[in-house]
Amino acid sequence: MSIRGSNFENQHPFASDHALVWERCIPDGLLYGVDMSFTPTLFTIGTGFMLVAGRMFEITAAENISISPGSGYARVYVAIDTGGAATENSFNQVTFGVDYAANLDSFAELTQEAININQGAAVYQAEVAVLSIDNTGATAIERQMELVSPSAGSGAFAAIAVTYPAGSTVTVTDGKITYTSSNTSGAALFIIPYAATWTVTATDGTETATETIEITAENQIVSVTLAYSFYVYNLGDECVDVSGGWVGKALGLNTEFPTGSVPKITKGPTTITATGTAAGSNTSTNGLFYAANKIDLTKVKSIEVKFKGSATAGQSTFRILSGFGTYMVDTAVAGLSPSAANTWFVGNVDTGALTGEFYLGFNVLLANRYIEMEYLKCIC
Amino acid sequence: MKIYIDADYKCHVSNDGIMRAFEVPEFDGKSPAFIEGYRYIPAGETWTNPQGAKCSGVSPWRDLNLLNEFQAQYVAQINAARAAYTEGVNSI
Repeated sequence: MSIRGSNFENQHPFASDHALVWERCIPDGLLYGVDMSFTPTLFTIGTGFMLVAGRMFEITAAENISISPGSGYARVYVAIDTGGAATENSFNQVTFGVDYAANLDSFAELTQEAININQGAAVYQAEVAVLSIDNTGATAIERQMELVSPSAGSGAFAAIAVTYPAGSTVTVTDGKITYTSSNTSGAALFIIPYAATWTVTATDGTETATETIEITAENQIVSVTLAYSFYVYNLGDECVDVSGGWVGKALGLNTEFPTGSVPKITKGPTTITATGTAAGSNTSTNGLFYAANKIDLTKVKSIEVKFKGSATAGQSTFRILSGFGTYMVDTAVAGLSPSAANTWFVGNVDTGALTGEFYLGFNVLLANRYIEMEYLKCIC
Repeated sequence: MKIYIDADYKCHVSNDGIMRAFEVPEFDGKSPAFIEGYRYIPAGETWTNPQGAKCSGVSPWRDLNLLNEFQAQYVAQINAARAAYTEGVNSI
């Protein structure tokens, strides 16, 4: 048997073991503080914490690195040398250095040995900043080490592409990490660092839409479309862009009420009413009062409707229809009846299992029966 | 059609002894498999869906395309049985 235990009972974990895990999961970067500034001849690295090759260290007093004047660029780098002194009373494994190049991309290659394997002496260098220089010295910071972000570099595990209403803000969170869209364009791509259940939420300050995504596999890419709730009718507004207008249709209910009769529609300032009609003395009529456009319910989780009717079960009923059949019941896939006659009623119908386009409407049975609607809202 | 609902408001065509019975015309002519893909929440009661909406009425909890397929097979079986019966009667 030739196995060395690391984080096991009675086994000795090396610092490099710990650093190896971090190195594999977290890119080089700043953890806290480490403000950077410069004068023409001096580059200053402020106090704070850094993580390089999985090795974390604290700068306890500002580091000043001399910058020589010239033409081109100066690169400040940090070097970890695991062969340096590291005792209880002294530490000399982290230093800063500077080198120069004529162009931004012509610096010598940094030494990046595997310092977390074999517990031996090795060197790992990482760029901290690059400054432009002229004959007076440093003139600007061209680039610098960033705050560590789990979504950067080797932290990528999967991705969630989100399409959302433009003008909104999107967040993606697993409860530990939260990412926020950088703009409100209507499309965003989030790099996900690990497998988890992620909640994607869009909000414009008033409306909110949310989806839950299970990220289970590396390189998994999930597309999500978020949509806000919308009205198909609301307080006198027929929402024509969505509904196509509210209309009547002669359509029998079933074999008991087989005769179709177009209901009469009355448009009020805040409500719309459909009243049953009958040809002559026909007492077996039924009409449909509905939004002319089919509505896509794929993203709609429930429909909330406020209405009242002259009767309850089956006679003044909100119905979701997949199309038009011989009778209304042939294509009715869901529905809702008021709990009492002639009383305003707010109800929700669960539509989570419905995908595709459907007609939304009410059946109005017999002459002089009615339904009156205040709003119909699709909740996504 | 007489159906039974369990504590989760899911519909059944037979009673396990603790279900509640309701007459629901919407299920007239529907197959057992179709009916058992639905919830029925009686007037005055609500069931809260995963998004938090307090729902009532009749709505599917299984995929509607699947339920429609169940129903189509059920209707085809009934039509086949009727045709066989008619053929039998005519042959007498």
